[in-house]
Amino acid sequence: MKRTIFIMLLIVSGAFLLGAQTATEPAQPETSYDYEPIRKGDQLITGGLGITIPLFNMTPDGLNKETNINTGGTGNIGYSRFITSNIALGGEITFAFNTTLGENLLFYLPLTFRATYALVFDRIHVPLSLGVGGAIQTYNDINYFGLIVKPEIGAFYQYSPEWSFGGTVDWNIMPEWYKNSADDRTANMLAVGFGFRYHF
Amino acid sequence: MTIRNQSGARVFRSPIFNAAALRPLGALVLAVIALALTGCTYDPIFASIESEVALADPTLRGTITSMARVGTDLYAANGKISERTGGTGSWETIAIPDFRCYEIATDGTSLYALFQDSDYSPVAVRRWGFISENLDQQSAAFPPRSA
Repeated sequence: MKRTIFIMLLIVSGAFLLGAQTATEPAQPETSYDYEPIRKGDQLITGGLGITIPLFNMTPDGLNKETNINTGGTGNIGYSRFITSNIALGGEITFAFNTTLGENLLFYLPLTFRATYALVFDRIHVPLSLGVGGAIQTYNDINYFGLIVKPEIGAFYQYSPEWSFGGTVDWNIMPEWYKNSADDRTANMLAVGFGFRYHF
Repeated sequence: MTIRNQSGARVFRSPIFNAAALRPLGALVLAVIALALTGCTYDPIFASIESEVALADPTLRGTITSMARVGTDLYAANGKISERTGGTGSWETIAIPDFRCYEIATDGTSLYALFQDSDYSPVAVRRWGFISENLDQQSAAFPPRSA
């Protein structure tokens, strides 16, 4: 009998203690976790290597697919800063070279301002970019500085908070305008490559 | 962001489109547009490449330092001297002294060749008299000896 009374007292006192605990627990503020893959102010250093494939030249007489330019190589390094959670502004320096049918070398160095709209699918980032700037072009003893427009799409896997790796495809549009309009050409080249992005 | 000027009036200034910060950017954009819209009088690049032709396989290899034509025969120097009889057919190497032929020249009737040793110093000049058949080898020492 004494044992039964002792057990009941323990249970009752335990219940009181629990009640006292509940009563003294302060109200917790509501916490919400909103994952932001990109925040305003985020910055990127980008880089990549790839190949350039000549597509066609736009001439005064129409399209010419016989560009006599062979597939070449390209590399780039750039910087961008997000001004919103989706839009980034920055710049890029690219170097590219192609050999030609006559075994000469075409080298061009585009310097572009770049605007990027970034789509995010979990850890996959898909930047859509438009670069506009100038391209220094050299072929044999001829130099030319002209406009370049580079629409670009990429896909990058966010490997870590700092690093992401992926690939890009960009369309290089390089017009050359001369006094003799018969010499005018707009070269269209496709660049495909691998790239990295360092986020900070 | 809203700020006030000295007179107390509210002035709106966007943190993104800050006119002062964009001034250098605008100048660069204008420079690029001006350059892009300016026609160039130099030789064209892409149009020149379009007119290229594939190179034929070389009939004579090496660095050709000079060529000469004596009559209808062609001669080329690339360390050795090669001859193309009648200007056609294959190149044949002709016998030369045990030096490197640096350059050849002609006066229309004879072929002259300048030879160098392994230090690239000129050591001899040789003349082949093709018209007179006079192979005047002794007069070929370099520098020319005084008579």
